[in-house]
Amino acid sequence: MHIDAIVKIKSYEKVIYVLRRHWLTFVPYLVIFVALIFLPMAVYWFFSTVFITVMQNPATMPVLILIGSAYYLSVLLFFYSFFVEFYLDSWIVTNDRLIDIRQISIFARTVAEVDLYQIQDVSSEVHGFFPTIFNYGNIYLQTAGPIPKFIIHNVAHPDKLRQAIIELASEDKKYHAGH
Amino acid sequence: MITIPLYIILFIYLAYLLIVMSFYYINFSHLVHNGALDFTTFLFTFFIIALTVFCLYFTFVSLMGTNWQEPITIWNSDWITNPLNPSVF
Repeated sequence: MHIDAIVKIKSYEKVIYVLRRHWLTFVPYLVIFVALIFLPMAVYWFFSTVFITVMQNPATMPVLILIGSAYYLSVLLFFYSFFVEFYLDSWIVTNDRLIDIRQISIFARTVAEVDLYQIQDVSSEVHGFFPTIFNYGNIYLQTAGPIPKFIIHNVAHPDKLRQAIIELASEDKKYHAGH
Repeated sequence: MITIPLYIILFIYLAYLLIVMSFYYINFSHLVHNGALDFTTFLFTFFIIALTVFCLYFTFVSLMGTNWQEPITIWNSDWITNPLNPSVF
């Protein structure tokens, strides 16, 4: 991922982590996608059993094919949009700051950042059956900056990451104390 | 009773296809402009495009030989006044 496209990286700044939500959190979208793929088959079965006379009309089948095709294209489009939103929703940890890029929808995005030296408290949370099995969860950052609470949602290895952020924040505090 | 030729439905479909394609482009350009076009996104985009091409090809093959001049009833007052008679549909 080219960070420069979203935020301007300072000359002394080094990107340490580019974080995204755990891949397992995308699985519900996949399940919905598969269910929506099979839905028209059930609808077609319903139509062919209940509206027998309608189905005998020579114009019905082409109309149903066009509606079905439009439906499948829409499902694919929604699935692709969800993936793009999922993928662009990310957190960038550098040796100087933490950047939160939240892709809300195709036409809405917020970017927020906090300097590492402003971080006061970091806590991680792994809550639930799947997060425990696959080791993913949330990281909460308490800051002295304009954004009091920063949340990194559903990232892999939250405990390890919490430790790494604490170390980076401590190094940044030392740097700012010396300058 | 209001009837229209079948090709009107085809034109509506083509207009919708244009809208869908423009949204595909917007999504893809998001990936490109945000520098997120890596192996994962490329593979996913390829998968979506392949399924779209398959869907369009299947639609095209299924509609071959269709008489687009065939009239289609979009409104019949008997649907309201006599809904239990299957011959009105």
